[in-house]
Amino acid sequence: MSRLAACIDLMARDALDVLVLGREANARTVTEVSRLWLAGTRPFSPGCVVVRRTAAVHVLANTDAVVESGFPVERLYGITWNPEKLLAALGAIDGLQDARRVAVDGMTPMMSALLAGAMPAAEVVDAGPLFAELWSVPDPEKRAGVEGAATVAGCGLGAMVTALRPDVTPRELRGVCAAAFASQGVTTPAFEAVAAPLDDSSSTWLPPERAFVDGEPVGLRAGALHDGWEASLARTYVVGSPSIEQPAPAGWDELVAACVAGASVGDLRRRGAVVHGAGRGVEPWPDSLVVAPGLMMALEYRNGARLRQDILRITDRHPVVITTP
Amino acid sequence: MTEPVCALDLARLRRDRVAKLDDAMEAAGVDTVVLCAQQNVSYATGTRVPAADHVRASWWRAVAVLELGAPWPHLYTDFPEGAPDDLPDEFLHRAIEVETAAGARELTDKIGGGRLAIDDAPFPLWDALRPREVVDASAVLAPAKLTKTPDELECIRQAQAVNEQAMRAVRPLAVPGARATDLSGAFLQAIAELGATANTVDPVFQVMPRSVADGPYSVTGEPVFPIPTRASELGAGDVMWIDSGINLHGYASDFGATWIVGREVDDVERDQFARWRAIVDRALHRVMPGATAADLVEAAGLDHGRRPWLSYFYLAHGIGTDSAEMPFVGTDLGDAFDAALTLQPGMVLVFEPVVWDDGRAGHRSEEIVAVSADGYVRLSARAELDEGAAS
Repeated sequence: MSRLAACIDLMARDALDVLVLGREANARTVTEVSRLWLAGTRPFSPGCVVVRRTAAVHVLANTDAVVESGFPVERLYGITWNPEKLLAALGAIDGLQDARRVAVDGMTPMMSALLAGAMPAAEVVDAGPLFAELWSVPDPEKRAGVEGAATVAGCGLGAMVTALRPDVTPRELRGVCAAAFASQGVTTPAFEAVAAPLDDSSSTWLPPERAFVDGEPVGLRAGALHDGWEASLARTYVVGSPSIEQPAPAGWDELVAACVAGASVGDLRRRGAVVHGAGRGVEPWPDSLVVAPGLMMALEYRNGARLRQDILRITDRHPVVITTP
Repeated sequence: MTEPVCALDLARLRRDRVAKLDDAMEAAGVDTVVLCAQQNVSYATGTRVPAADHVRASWWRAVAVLELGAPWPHLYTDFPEGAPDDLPDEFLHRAIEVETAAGARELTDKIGGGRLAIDDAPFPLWDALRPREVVDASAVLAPAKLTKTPDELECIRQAQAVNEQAMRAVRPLAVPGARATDLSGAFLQAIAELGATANTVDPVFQVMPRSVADGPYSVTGEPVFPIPTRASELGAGDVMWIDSGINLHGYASDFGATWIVGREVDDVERDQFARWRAIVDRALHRVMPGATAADLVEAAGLDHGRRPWLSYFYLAHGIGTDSAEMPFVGTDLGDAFDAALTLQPGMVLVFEPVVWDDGRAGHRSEEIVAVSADGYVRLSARAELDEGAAS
């Protein structure tokens, strides 16, 4: 079943007439869209609209160069700064005027007023549960997509390892990773690469402005968005010439072994792991999720001066680790 | 090169912003502001979070809560080391996961009564706030951000200098056979080495068609820009439009240029640049306190009978902690909007007109100025990257 068909099925089950989506990863979940990558959060706005009755996806874009081949151009609506024009564009979408129940993935006071104008009869509910359900179903396309991103992420981390020497700075390593991604034709990170000291006082995400010193333990992180799919990894090294990869943190192997079909996300978190789905970006998983074969999971664990993060593919037996520097 | 606006003092910058927000809250009759958008949290608190894709950034978002008359905003973050040293401990808190219903309740329990404003809400937080009357935080943010303090202008100037210096390193690499994404890689590596806090947008190196009809499909019938950079090879004679933005101390920059690949600029391209320059100069001639956005639109005039910018963007936009923010000049908000916008000292204008000769592509560049007491000061110094500027 196509991703859109699966979405429409869930909309029918939940009596949702329309989805109004502001999050790029959610838009990517229902249709192939590759708009400009911007860092950081974006205020909610109608970037993508799904109508159940017509099974149509409408995309905010000025061109079909950012949607999949064959996308009907009459389902594009253009960029505007004018709320009245946006309202008119939404009003022209077949199926919005008489919508009774609409799910959204965020809200602002201004957009709340605007959507009330476009869909006067609609009850507004959360689109989050629908996407959580779509993401909890194993998906062969996702497996291939995340594996492609994992190759790029590993390439970036590998380049950082080569460049990790005494006197190099975290910023320089960030640049090395971006250049390595670009050499693979990828200019969009999941996050800007990180090289951070692993002493007790520091985060593993926002390194200080200083050069690394010989013998220091350093955590390296790289994450790529490739064709709209995300993968990331982290490893620990001791700085030297060359720098030496450290064994995984104590307890890591047992954690990985616990990531089998039937395991609960809450149990893994109680053991100190950071866990989320990997797919169209971070796919937040609730504690209650029980993992199933085929799911792609990000697993992270730190113990003292050792940090590790990988993407695992869940199977009936031991999970498959798909990330490697 | 541009001249420093002042000796940058980040602690003073943060104090001034908090004072401006407090004044704006009082003027708008708002008692509490909840900020969930990262650029707004950064504006209010000076905090930093790792640069990340949209959904990851939402997942680990920091939240700021401002109370009228309080000396600092409360900051809730997963990254306390990103908070400035001057934020007192009692205002720095562990993150609240407002993407979940439980987190949303935890935050709303901390918010006092009175009139509440919010900028952007994950749905669970919106749902938790629905029983209250909530106004859009732009009522507070827009007046606070509309004009910049000298420290803010200096941040923008320094951010722009990093962006431009990186582009100087990239320009020689734009040769036939190079891939557009190779230029992106060189740029991203250069800004990291030059001290950028983060990158803010996938750098755009877009080869333009000669005619709009050559594609890609355009909703408005105008040239389509920007399209994300692909790993395609550059060819001799390609006309490439560039657009990049980086972050320094929370402030954005905006570089725009037109590069000709693998050959000298020809007479048509030289003329296109001259027309672009003349449009900006005509508008700059009118930039002073008291002038309106409509005055700038009028001064920019027409180029070959059409408004010389993309109708879906603007003649000029502001810049600050967001890469495009008020003031907007020449948008589809219309003439009345432009006529009502009066320039004041401290406003920033990023001019980005477009000259287009269908069949011969066109020229797009960007130039940044700040409105001063008697005119303007330049925050971008990009002349040596102006194709067609020589001779």
